[in-house]
Amino acid sequence: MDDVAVALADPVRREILMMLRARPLPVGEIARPFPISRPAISRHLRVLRESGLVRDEPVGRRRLYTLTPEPLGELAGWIARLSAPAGWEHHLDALETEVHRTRRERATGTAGPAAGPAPHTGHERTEDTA
Amino acid sequence: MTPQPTGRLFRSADGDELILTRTFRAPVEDVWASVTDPERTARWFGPWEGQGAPGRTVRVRLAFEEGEPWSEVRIDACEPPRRLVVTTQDDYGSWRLEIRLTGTDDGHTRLALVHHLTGTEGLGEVGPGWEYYLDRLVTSRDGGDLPEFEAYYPAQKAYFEGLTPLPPED
Repeated sequence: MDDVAVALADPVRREILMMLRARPLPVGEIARPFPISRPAISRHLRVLRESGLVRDEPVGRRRLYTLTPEPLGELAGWIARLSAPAGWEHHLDALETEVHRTRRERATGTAGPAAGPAPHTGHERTEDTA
Repeated sequence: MTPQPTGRLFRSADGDELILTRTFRAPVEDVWASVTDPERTARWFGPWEGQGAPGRTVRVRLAFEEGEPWSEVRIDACEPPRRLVVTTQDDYGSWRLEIRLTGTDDGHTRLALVHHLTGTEGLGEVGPGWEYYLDRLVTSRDGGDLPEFEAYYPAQKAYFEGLTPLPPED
């Protein structure tokens, strides 16, 4: 994931990835829109290849570069987790407690204590006595 | 150590020339071999194949570029051990390049790489690339750490973009 994040950190590399979305391209066509020398483009392509975001294959005397977006998955998952509201999991904890309490109260009210799925956590016993 | 750019721009009859120089503690014939012998060009630029004669086109593999692409190189003039003129033709376009070697009195050889320009567009990118390759040539002969391109670009970009053409040297 570190390699992918590093690869994406550069605007030229992000632009190269966008170009490769449509179809595989040889180095020369990748380089054409950029006012950058051959060694600079080479360096960017190497970083992208080592991150796994592109692969290259020989076609005659040229090499074609193809987008392989699979390594983005792990980074995308991490970003999704980061983007979720802070304390999200604790909110769910509270919801779960509330659901348990509601079910127990209903069980107690309609069919007696034995019918309900009695909770056995210390946390909820404390609430019972409160 | 931070590499210092050597490139200078000269006005000539048929367009500007970007000239970069290096000096070697070696006779002219030895430096000539470094820029023409395929086993020795392989150390700093890439190996080449084909018939190396004026008017012929050889294929050079750019061994230090991503994907090691092949480049067609037409030999326009070959005058061992002092002058080589070639035209490269590949995805990057057409470049006319010349190497001039001059022996000095103290047994050194001065190499001048001349890039015959059709315009100064992209000079800020091309110049640092040549400095990088010429330092690779120096390192391939003298040993030491191979230069990293990051030391040249974008650090030298502004230098090359700021060059103004000088009158011809001769």
